[in-house]
Amino acid sequence: MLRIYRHTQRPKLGKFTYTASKKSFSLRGVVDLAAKGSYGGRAMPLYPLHEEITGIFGSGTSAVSLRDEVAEFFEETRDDVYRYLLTLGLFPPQAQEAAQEVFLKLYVELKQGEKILNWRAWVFRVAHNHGLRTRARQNSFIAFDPEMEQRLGSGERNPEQSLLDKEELLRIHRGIEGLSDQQRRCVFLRLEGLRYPEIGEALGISASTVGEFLRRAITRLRKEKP
Amino acid sequence: MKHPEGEQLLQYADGELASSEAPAVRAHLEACWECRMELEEYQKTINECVRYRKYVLQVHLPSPPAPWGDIHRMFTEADASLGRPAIFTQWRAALSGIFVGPRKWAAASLLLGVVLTAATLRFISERSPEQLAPSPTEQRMSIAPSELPKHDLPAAPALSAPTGPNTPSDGAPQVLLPAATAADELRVFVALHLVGADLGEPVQIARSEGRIHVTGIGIEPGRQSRILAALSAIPNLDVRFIEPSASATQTAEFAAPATQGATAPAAGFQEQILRQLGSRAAFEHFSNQIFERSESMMSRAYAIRRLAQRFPVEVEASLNAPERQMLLDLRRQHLTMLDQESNEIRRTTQSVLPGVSIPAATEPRPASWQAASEALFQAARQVERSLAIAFGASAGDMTSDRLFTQFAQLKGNIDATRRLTAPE
Repeated sequence: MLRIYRHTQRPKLGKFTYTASKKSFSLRGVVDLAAKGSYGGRAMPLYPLHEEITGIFGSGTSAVSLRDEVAEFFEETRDDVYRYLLTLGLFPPQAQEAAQEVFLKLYVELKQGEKILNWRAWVFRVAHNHGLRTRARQNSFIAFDPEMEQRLGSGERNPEQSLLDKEELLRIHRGIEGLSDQQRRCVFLRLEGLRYPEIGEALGISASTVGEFLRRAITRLRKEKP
Repeated sequence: MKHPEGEQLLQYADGELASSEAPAVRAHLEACWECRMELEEYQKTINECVRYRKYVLQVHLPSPPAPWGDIHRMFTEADASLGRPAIFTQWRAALSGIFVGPRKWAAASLLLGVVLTAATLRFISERSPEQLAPSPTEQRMSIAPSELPKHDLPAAPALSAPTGPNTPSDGAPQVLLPAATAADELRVFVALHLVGADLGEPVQIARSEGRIHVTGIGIEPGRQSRILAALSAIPNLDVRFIEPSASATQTAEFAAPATQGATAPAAGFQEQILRQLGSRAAFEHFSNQIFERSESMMSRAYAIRRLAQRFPVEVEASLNAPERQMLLDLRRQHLTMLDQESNEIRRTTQSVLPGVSIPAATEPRPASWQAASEALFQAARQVERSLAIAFGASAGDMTSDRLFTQFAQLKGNIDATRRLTAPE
């Protein structure tokens, strides 16, 4: 639905006079609606698309819409990719740069006619491999969230969280820390919405091994319960 | 059917079970309370993981250290580098087709002429007037906001000045733009930091006559375009890349540490380590590691000092709160790395010098983080020089006591700078 909208409507939108106010119109409603169905070349997003799409649209050529589509995808996905790279042990500046490079690479591949069906799975796979290479080049890396426990224990927390939640989250945090690297990566990639074969491709293991890792991880997290 | 395995249950819930197996598992689940409970238990743990992602990972992991780069600009760069070889290939294909028939030679040469003219015109049109300036060793590129892609992303958060220098100004003459501010310069620092170009790479930043000048010396072309892309969203900016020969004096800051007035090599110290390590080769390997880390430590010390020099107290005062926060984040990152590297060097050195006693750190009390950064830089340089002497890269006298006293001084300076780099 979004696709149709884009190709038929965008040239018209281009005729609007664009003024200094960048937030002058928003496609929020349209995108939310579209998110419920097929979404361009990507898999259906798992999380609500909350980003407003603003900006000026150029001509309706496909090059421009590919660029806008990837840019929009970048905006909605970059923080997830960045955080995943942090959990791999990258320092924040490297993680941010790596995340940007991944989306640039996605654009280049698409531009060169590469057929990428699920963009989200693709960027996580590429980010994973790129992240591990970057980490290998770093002199040192951050162990998975070294200060998280401290921060969780401190007063800093989401107002939505009750004290009870906090205990539970601390428990899960310790449980996740206790998982093997591969188990943890499986859980994190699954949390990002990747399917077993996609996770397997990123980690270089089979889909059934992913299933086995996930089951073990969940069983282990369950055991952590008091 | 017997009870499905736990893995099968999870696969079923995730929709990953083969279509041949799924109906049997579904039927079993309908029939078996026990397995249904088992599946619910899995689901509970999954729910907890989802909450963990939402309330722990998303809330507590550090936010991106800098505003996200202008992805449209990066795409433009990518298009440019993709486009050129493609056009070349097309010409080649077209020409090779023509060359098959000898009678078409005339047409081919005509076409070649047209193509070359077009290429020349294109080359000229791509160069800004400044690039055409008669300076053979310099390549200059100026980015004015009017050249930025029109579908710019929404203004980068946190850093834009209240006047909004990033606002598109279609066709507006450049003279109407507000002059570059310290905030703009800070954005340059952040952008360079994001591509790692603030760590000893010969990139200099200066601000004069309302514009910011970034000069890269002897930087390879691929790297140049990365730096250009990173800087694309900043107005009033001149980026210049020059060859090292043209500015040998300017690179002095990045040169290796000067050797001190030599007396005698630190033979005793080295022999001690050599004995501990067992062989000359092990010693070489060990000292190379130390030098590498020492270099990395110094790149951070230079970066912090540069921030202190470019943002003295009165300039820092002209920044708004989010900008000051950005400056603080930059400092803190460099400081953390500097601390890590120096600790690592000290620990490694200590491991081959058993029995050495480490004096307590004395923390100086400078008035500002800028003053602290300068003292920190000097302390780091002192350690760097001493390491060079201790591990035989330059001549001099060294004892382990003196080296570790300097480490303690460095630690004291790191702590002092850190104290002044606490959140406001």
